[in-house]
Amino acid sequence: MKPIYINKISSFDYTVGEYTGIPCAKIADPDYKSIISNANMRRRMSRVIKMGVSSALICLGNQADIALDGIITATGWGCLEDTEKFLNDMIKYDEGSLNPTTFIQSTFNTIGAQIALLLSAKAYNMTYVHRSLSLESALTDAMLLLNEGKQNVLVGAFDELTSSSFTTLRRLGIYRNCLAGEGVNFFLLGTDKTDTTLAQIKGLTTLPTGTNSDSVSESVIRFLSVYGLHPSDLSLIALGKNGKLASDRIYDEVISILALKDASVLLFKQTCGEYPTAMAFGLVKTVEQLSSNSEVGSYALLLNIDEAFGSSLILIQH
Amino acid sequence: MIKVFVTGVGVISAIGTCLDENMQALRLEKTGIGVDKYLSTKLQVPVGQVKYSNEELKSLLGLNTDCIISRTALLGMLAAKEAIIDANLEFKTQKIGLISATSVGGIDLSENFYKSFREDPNSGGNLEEVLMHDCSASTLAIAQHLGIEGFTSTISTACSSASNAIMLGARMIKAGMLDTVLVGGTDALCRFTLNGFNSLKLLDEEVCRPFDQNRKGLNLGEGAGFLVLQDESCLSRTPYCELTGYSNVNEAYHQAGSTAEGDGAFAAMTEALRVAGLQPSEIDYVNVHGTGTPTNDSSEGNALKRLFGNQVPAFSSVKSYIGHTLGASEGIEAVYSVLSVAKGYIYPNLNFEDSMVGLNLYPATKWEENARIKHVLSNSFGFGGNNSSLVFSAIK
Repeated sequence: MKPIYINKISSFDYTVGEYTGIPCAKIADPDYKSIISNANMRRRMSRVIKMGVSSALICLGNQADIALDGIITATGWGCLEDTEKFLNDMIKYDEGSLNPTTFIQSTFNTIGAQIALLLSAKAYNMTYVHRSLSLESALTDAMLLLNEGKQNVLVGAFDELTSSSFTTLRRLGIYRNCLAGEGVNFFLLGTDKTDTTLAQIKGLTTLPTGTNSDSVSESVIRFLSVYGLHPSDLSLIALGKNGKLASDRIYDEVISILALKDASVLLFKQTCGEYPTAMAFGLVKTVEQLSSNSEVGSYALLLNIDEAFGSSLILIQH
Repeated sequence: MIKVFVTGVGVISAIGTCLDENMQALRLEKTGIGVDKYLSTKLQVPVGQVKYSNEELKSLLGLNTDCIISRTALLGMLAAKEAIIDANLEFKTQKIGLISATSVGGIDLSENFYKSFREDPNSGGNLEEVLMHDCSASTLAIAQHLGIEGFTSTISTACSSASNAIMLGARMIKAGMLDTVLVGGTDALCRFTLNGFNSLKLLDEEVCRPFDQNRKGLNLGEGAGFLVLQDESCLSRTPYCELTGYSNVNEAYHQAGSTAEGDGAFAAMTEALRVAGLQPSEIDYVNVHGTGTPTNDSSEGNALKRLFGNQVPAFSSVKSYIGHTLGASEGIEAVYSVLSVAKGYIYPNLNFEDSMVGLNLYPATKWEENARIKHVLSNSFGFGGNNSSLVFSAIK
């Protein structure tokens, strides 16, 4: 496999929001007008579309004319606001004559398509909708593309929290002991190192459902050994701990089993909250911390545990 | 160079719950498009509905009829199971994967949930009906039903979703990441998409007429189609054919429309041929996207003329049998394309009378078998300019 470099990153700041008095982690909306200059397109966009498109444009920055070989997006929830609006109209107007815009924008590939439209990017365009492993699918695809001879691939992950999704997920018990969150993060990946290169993605893997601390630890050790590494070689480990008692205990046990040496521990969901593509924010924070605090060549591991759907590991090198 | 072989197929659609039923209906020119039985929609439009209720589908799968599970998942489980059995597969290899595609996910259930939820968000609606809202829920249900524990993923690129699932599977085999992978797509009819396409004024009130001058629009359909793709080193049976070409391009023109010249369709077909290492003249049959909407068919027709000139090979659309099955369409139609290569089938394009003015394109209108078919090109084009083509080739 060729080396895969993270050449640019974009991520938004967080603010404390609330639904029915319960705090949650919300993106501090930037001034979308100054980022998406096409007013016609911007006006039709729902919030998550603006979030996604803005993040992509910021990620490319002054390189908006770069020849992209692929745009790969990842989302667990998709465009909830447009989906809900259309559903609401459909019920309210009893399947009468409806505004098609929200329907068109409800599809999961909307953001990838809007980015392609704005950039006239006619290359590969893909959208993964695989819950807590959506980002991992997108990164796998990007690594494949880059190994097939492509050079620059934009990968982005987004999920928005809406009043209805918060209420529904709270009723399902998802936010018991756990901060609700949302997020949007984009990465420009390439096979060539540039003067903005932040880190290298060494590899990633997913673990099946129903994990316990022994099987996760074994998987971590096996995964690291593929790269000739041992847990004691890690400078940083980022954990998807979210306050849920059962999974937090697994993280704690894994950390003690792994016998890390001087690795610092990063808990990113305290900032971004829990949402399907939260690993993308974890990746941003890991890369930022690794590239500013550690020596060149040092390693970081990201671990996210989702017992019901599947866990994942991502290995990063400064 | 690792080759990718098709060793299993499974399909469920408005014209049958298994491969044999689908082939029989295609042969007999029996459309599956008719009056809706299960949706309780107000829209009076014909649909390509699978002829079983959810309870009947659950019985077919041996599931408890009381369990709450999306129709999208049920359809997917049936087709995926047929493909696995057809491929003679045993789940001994760790590397077996599942890549499924869907455009609606479990919205057939969540639209019920939402009806009560919007009245009373804090306690309205049965929560069990929203558990399968997201797209991956159907993939997980298929994986659990079949005992697949390897790599899984879910793709949603509107109407080209299943094509992209097939393409990813092929690329992962070529990269040595998987040696056996179940790929395809599933989508159930629901009021959400029916009303969506109705709001776009894209629905025909009669059975659709792909590539006909007087076409009025599309019929929505539902179903699922899956292929088992395998690397040469671990074939579980004699393969049907090889998957030689694939493409994924974006037209970057309009969120819901395509260029009159068919730029995206042309690029998708050209790229798939390039990957397959074939000249246009080597294609023997094209399974066109052919939805029956005025814009798709003229733009795809233009792309065919640009690619093949005056030598357009035999082509047809099966949408007047099964409707447009959205995220499942290339799953189902890939199964048909595989059989076309393996058995020399050419499928009739029903309801065709007059060629589109200025294009002079005549789809195949008669069932053919034992036709000399070495390479089949299959198209699917979606919202967001997401266009894909696949090439299936006879084994050398």
